[in-house]
Amino acid sequence: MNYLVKLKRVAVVTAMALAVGIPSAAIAQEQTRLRIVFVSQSGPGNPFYGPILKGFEQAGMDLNIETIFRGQQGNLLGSAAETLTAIENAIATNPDGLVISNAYPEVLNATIKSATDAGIPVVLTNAGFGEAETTGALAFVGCNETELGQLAGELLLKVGATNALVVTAPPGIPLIDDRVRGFTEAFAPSSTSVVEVPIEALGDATRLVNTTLAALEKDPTIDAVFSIGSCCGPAMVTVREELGARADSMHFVTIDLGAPVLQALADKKIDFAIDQQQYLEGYIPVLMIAQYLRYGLKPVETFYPTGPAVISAENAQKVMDLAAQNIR
Amino acid sequence: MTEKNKPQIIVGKSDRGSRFRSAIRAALFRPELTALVSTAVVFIFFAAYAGDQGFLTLTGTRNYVQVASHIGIIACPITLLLVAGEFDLSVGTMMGAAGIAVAYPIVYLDWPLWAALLSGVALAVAVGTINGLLTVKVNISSFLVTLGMMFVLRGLTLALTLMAIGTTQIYGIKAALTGDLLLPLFSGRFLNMPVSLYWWLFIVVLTTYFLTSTRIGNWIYASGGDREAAIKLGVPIASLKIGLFIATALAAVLVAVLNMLYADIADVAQGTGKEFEGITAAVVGGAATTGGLGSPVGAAFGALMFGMISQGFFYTNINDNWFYAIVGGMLILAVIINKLIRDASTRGRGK
Repeated sequence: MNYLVKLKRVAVVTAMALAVGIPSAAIAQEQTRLRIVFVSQSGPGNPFYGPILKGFEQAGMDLNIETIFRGQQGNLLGSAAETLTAIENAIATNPDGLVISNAYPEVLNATIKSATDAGIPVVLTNAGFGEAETTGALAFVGCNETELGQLAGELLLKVGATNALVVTAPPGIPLIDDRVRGFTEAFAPSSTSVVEVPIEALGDATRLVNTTLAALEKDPTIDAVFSIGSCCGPAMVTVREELGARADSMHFVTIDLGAPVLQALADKKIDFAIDQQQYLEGYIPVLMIAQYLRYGLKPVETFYPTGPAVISAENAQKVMDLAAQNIR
Repeated sequence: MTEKNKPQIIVGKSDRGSRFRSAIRAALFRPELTALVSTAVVFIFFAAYAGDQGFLTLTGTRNYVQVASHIGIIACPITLLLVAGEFDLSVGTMMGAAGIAVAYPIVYLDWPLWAALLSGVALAVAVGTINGLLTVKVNISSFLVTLGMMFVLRGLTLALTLMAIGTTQIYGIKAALTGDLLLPLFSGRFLNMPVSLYWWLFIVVLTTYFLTSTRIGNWIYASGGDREAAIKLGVPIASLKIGLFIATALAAVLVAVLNMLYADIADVAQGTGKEFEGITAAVVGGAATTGGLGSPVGAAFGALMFGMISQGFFYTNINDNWFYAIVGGMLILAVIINKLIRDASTRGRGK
């Protein structure tokens, strides 16, 4: 970069910082690059995370910030203890800011609070709705998980479904439990049965398909399937194909997008998908932390909703190009 | 009979030079050496590359020591099992089962920690006995027995936990144990380090003592070396191996409790994959999967290396997607080096 431009920018930043009274440490750090670490219980092994990571990195490029992602290797869902150690490690690297997916609030809140108490700005993202105040985070970027489930339930009621199968993991993951509860509440006038797929099988399409097919076989009155997230959407497309004629009178709704789900929406194999625009869940936290560190600005509301939005055959085509770029 | 499997200290007879060379050779042929050197290399790498980013801080050290201690505690009895020629793949899911077996009575039945620990111990004795009996009496390979046990434990834990409490995770364990006298033994820090470090050191010393200085240690080497000869010599192979399987399950209980009180959560999925981490540490530390060789001290360095690699990444800018590739590469490299050293040592003895 042009040296003069750089100098000018530092001067501008300094002037603005002084105007709002930011400690000089923040300015000293700005002469090196700001470093933001993102800790999550999930990672690139989970296709849903593609757009989040892309957004996170793009924000780093746009804002000239070093962005480092630390997820869990190997499995779709890291344990609470692993995530806790990861956050402790991230704090020990003394980052300028932290982005945290707070999937286990009961376990992680105290440690996140210790980071914000020590003056590290934190933004919660994707998981951790309602935990921003408790942890002292600037905000939570993402969705009210209960609302995602509710919306799915309402959509199925509207299309006339009477008996829905919920494809989910055994209770215990707060984010997933909230989605299921929201769905069951909204769908309450009609009946719901639940099939639970062990966590380790959530990444195994064959097991997902077969478990779901077996549950449908057992109860021929089931006329709708709700699957709880990105784990299961593509498998539900296969389920629909395997079902043959029965599928024509059935409705499918899932949460979160991905190329296979979008294609299925366009082909009307899935009726609806609830979208949370997770690209923003990677991008916005970096933006928030940067604005906070550089200018002392922060959002007034601690909840920055990125969804829910309903995607169906009508609007699927529009977002497909973006899915190819890993943005949806 | 038992001596042939132990690392030999060769002392030269006459001149000083040859005695010195022999001493060096003896040091080189220690099974711990590869693990020690690899651990040092890994440490130097992260210290040089990421030292200024927090790897050398107290938190950084504490975190890799903690991860290493959990693997290391399991790796000790696994080493003994390997020396005796057996495998335990159920140790990881045993952790999940033990976590629930201990946490459930604490949170839902208001048991004190000592009583809840006994419930974990009872489970360990049961699982270890079944593993041992099937291996020794029915004469099925322990690889298969414990593979089956791994799935059985995972399924039982999930099903029973959901039946009892309707969720796969138990929270609020520490709150339920407020004021419990045993709590400081399993939770928190001593001299700025996690208590798990001290348990680990204790177990390394204990297993090393058993292996090198007791009759049981001789039996372990003997049963892993030449089984027929061991039986002829009156080694109680059945009770010995059952005991070793119980010891492994007990180590899983200990790690489950340490882990559960660290994060204040018990999770049915806890410990998944830990069996392979334990075996990796033991093998890097010089244990042979064919039996007859192994060292708890070596396994400790293997575990320390594992902990450093897994946590060290946080302090670098390397993408941690590389983690497993590096661990796997280190494992294969360590095994090759160990084999080369062993071959050289046999040649050196003129055999």
